[in-house]
Order: sequence, then structure tokens, then C-alpha cells
Amino acid sequence: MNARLASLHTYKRTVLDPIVDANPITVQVLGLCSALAITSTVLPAVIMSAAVIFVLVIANVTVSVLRHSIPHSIRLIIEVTLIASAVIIVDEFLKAFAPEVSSVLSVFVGLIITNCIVLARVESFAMHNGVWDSLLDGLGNGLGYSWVLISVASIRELLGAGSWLGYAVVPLATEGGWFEPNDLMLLTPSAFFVIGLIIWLARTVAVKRAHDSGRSSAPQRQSSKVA
Amino acid sequence: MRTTQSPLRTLRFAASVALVCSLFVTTAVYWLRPIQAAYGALEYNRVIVAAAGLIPPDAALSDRDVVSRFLELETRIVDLELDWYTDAVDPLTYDYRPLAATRERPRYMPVYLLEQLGRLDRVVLPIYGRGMWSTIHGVITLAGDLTTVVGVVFHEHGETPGIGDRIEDAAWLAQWRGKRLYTDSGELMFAIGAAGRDASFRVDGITGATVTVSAVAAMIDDWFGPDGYGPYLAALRGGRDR
Repeated sequence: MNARLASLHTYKRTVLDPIVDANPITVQVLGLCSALAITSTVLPAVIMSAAVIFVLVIANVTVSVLRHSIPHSIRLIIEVTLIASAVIIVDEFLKAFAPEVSSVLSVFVGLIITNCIVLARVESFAMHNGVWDSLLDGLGNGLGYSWVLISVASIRELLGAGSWLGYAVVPLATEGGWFEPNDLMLLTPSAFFVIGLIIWLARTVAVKRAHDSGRSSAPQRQSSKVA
Repeated sequence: MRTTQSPLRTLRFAASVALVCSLFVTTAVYWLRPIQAAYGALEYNRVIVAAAGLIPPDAALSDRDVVSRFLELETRIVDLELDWYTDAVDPLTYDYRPLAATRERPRYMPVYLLEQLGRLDRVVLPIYGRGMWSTIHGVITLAGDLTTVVGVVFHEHGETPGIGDRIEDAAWLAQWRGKRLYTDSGELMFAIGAAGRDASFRVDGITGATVTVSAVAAMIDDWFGPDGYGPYLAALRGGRDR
């Protein structure tokens, strides 16, 4: 394999790994707070995902650019400052251009600052890797977070309101159809069930994949901090 | 990774990161504030239009529709010292809400009048006051007799979630409908709680939300008493020519 192909392969892994094998939510169990809170309908989940992807990419890139000049003793506070600035800018943008969604997301946009995924990627990846790799890593982790978030929201909105992204999917019993929506799905406890099921599913797949490819340990034992 | 330990360099680095970040944040806020303010004004118009009964409170109305319905209302400015309409400020651009943040009482307040068949049908009156944690903003709509409550809504507040924010409960707000603020002789009689009072002049309080409810009660006393809309409404009721 020539060098160009090899680097292409690494780039692909940098983006794809966090989507499945090292997914921040299903494998590392990070960022659960927002995943539980804003997934009752799809639209806020989509906006939240976009916000997190943006913040992850910006934070990863800026920290990677500065990684050789950041004084070691204050690196965490510098990282948090950069993350916080990106988050405030996103929040202001949402307030101006998507005010309804912004009021649904309320504090959770601001809480991206404390989302473990962002600080984890910045501290463990961007501090030690080049700009391009960090950008891809931010993108990959953002996408890994997003698909879980949007899946959970899709299941909850579909079962809880019979719609997806606000569009009616199944005819509701209240409007002459057959579907009786389950209100529990719109309440917070259902987020626990649904995320639990997705984590179970994702890990089962991961174990099977690891088994098939002959690897001895499945990647589910990486870390288990809860955010 | 190269580590740089000189305290001066560390300080310089921290200061420059802080400076650059604050520049970015300030720029974003500076450019986006006007858009956010325009949205705030639109939301306020939506509240007024809903309070006037031109749309159901939760109707999904386009921004354009909100503005066109809003323009169906006649916006007038009341001078609370002269207790009558004034042209001293432009009704379409005047905003009392910056004053609401201070303790100062505004001299001018906008009122929104809806006429049906040449007769005054509804008056929407903005009110505000100090709540538990921050300013409570609301509007009260009175019927053409200028004493019967058509509806009340508190559209902006920072009351405790689950306790004070029950002033948003539809069931509680529904109690206000049809209640009267003034007696036939023009005396302000309406009260919250006040067990034993004639039911047409009272609504129930909210258990556990004493501070919030007292704040709302004080708002009603303030705004419909002699220093508020009271004399203006009396003059209007008395048939003073608009």
C-alpha cells in the first residue's frame, strides 16, 4: 500500500471509528445528559447534533493549531475557554435564526461546554494530533453522537406522537386513525429505555464484529464516565 | 509536547486567548442582537394578538399573519400622568420594557384597542411587576365595559419552575375569565385569594407559590389603581371622546 492510500485509510478510520466502534455514547457512555434531555422530538435533536458537531470541530481544530504553544499548566482552562467561546457563538446564532428550537433546547446548548465528549476529544486527541486529523476526529465523534441522538429522538417522536420531524407518519386515534400514541415516550424515563436498548444493540454488534474479525477483546471496555 | 513554564509566557498566552475569544464572542453578539430583538418584538406582537382574541393562543401563525393581525389593533399610548392618550411618543416604536428592568415607573404605556362595529370591544393592557426572581410581564384583556376580564397571560417571567410558573397554567388563568376588576361605582375590588369575597371579584391563589401570587396581586393593584390605568379606564368608561 503506498503512503497516500495508507493515509487515506487512516483518515477514514479517524472518522468512522467514533461512529461505531468507539462511539462516544454507546461505547464510552459520554454526553448522556443532553442525549436524555432533548430527544423527545427529532427537530431539537437535529439542531443539537449540528451544534455539537460544530463545537467539536472548532474546538478540536483550534486546540490542535495551538497545541505546541499552550502552556501545560493552564491547558485545561484554555481548552474550556475555546470550547465555551464556540458554544456561546452557536447559542447566539440559534437565538437569532432558530428561536423556537433555541427555547426548546434552553440550557442544553450552553451545557455543550460541559459535555464530556468535547473536552475528552480536545484533551485526549487534539492536544496530540495534527490539525487535519483533529478536524476529522471532531467530525467523526460529532456524527457518532448525532446518529444516536437522532435515532433516540426518532423512536420517541414516532411512538410518542406518531410523527417524524413534525410530519404525521401514522394516523392518530384522536384524528380517526388507529395509532394510540404512548405519552410515556415523550417523558424523560423513556429516553433511558431507548438509549439503553441502543447501547445494548450497538455493543452486541460490536462484540460480534470483534469476534468475527478474530480480535480477542471487544471495544466496550474503554471507559465508562457518565456525563 | 514542548512545555513552557515561564509564568510570564503563561500569563501572556492566557491573556491573548481571552482577548481573541472575547473578540469573537462580542462580534457574534453585536451582529446577532438586532435579529434577536426583532424576533422578540414579533413574539410580543404574537402575545398581544392572542390576548386580543384574534388568534387562539397556540395557533401556528406565520410571522406575516401575526404582523397583519397586529395591525388590525389600534395601538395608542397612554400618558399615566395625564391619564389619557398622548402623541408624545410614537406608538409603533415605543418600548416600555427597558424601563421595566429599572424601578422607575414609566410615564407612557401602550394599549391595544380592538373595535367591532364602531364600538370598543376589547382593550389589551400590558402589565409587569417584580416576581420571585425577576420581572413578570403579562397582559390583561378587558371587555368593552372596561371592567370584565376577557383573559390574562403572563408571557415572560423567571418564576420557580413547577411552583411559581404555575401562573402559566391554563386552568388557573381560565378562572380569570369573566371576573370583574371594578365595582359598578368604579372601585377596584378584584383580589387573588380573598376568601369570602364575591366570587365575581376573586380568583384562587396558588398553593406553594405565595410570593409569585402576591407579586401578581400587587401588579393588579398597581396597574389598575390610581397610579396606573385606573383613572384612564374610568375616563374611557365615562365616555370621554377618543
